[in-house]
Amino acid sequence: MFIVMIIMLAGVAVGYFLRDRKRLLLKIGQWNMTAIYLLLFAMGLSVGGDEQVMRQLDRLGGQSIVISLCSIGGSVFLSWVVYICFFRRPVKK
Amino acid sequence: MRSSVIILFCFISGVLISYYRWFPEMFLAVDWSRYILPVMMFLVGISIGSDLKNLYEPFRIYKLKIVLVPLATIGGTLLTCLILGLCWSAVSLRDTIAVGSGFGYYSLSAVYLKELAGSEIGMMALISNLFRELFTLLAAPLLVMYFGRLAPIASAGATAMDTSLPVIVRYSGADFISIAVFCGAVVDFSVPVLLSFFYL
Repeated sequence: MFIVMIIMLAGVAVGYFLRDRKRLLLKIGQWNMTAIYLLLFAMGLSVGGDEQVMRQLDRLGGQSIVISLCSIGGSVFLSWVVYICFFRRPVKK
Repeated sequence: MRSSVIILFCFISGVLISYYRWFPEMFLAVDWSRYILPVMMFLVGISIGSDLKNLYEPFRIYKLKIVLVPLATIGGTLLTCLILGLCWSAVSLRDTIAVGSGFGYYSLSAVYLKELAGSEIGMMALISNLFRELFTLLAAPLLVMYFGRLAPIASAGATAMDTSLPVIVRYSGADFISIAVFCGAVVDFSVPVLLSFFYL
C-alpha cells in the first residue's frame, strides 16, 4: 500500500507540469470519475462474492452507520468550536 | 449529487452480479480493485499537482488559524471513535477508529482496510464513508444553520475538495472555498497515513 502513496506523489509531480493544459486536465478529471465508478463496481464484485460478508450485511451496515454518525458528530462539534473562536466575524454595533 | 447516485448504482450492480454469479467465475475471481486503485490515485495526484496554488493560497488569507480546520476535523473524528470504540464490544477499538478515519474517502479506505483488516472491515469502511459523503451532501444547509459555516467542511472530511465542494460553496459561502480545498487535501493525505499507522 506504501507504493500507492508513491504513485500518488508521482501524479502530483506530473500534474504540476501539466498545470497549464486545462483541456487535458478536464479530461483527466473525467477519467478519474470513471476510475471511481469502476473501482466501486469492482468492490461490489468482491463484496457480493464474499458469502460471509453478505450474510452479515444488516449487522455490518448498522455498525457502519453508527461509526459514521459518531465521526461526523465529533468533527462537526470541534469545527463549531473553532468557528466560534476564530472564524466568526465580530458583530458590528 | 448525481455522481453519488451513479457510484451507489455501480456498487450495488457489482454486488448483485457477483452474488448471483452472472459473470463467469474466472472474471469474478480476480480482485480488480487492486489494479484500479493505483490508476485512480495517480489521477487524483495529477489534479492536486495541477492546482498546488490552492494549497498555499489560504495561508495568505487566513494565516495559521486555517490549520485548525483540518485538525478539528481529524481530531473530532478520532476522539468520538475512540470513545465509541471503548464503550462498544461489537467492533474492536482499532477497527472502529480505522473505519472512522476514512473521513468519507470510501474508495481508498475500503480498499486499504480490506487488505489490512479483512473484507468485513473493508465493507464497513465503504458503507460508513459513503454514508458520510451522502450525509454531508444532504445535510449541508442544516449543518450551517446549527453549527456554523465550517460544519459542512468538517462533515465532508476528505471529500471537501471534490465531491462535496459544490454544496459547501453553496451553503458555507464562496469565501470558504479555499478553506474547504485546503482542509480536504490535508484530510485526504491523512487517510493512508493514519490507516497505515493503525495497522503497523
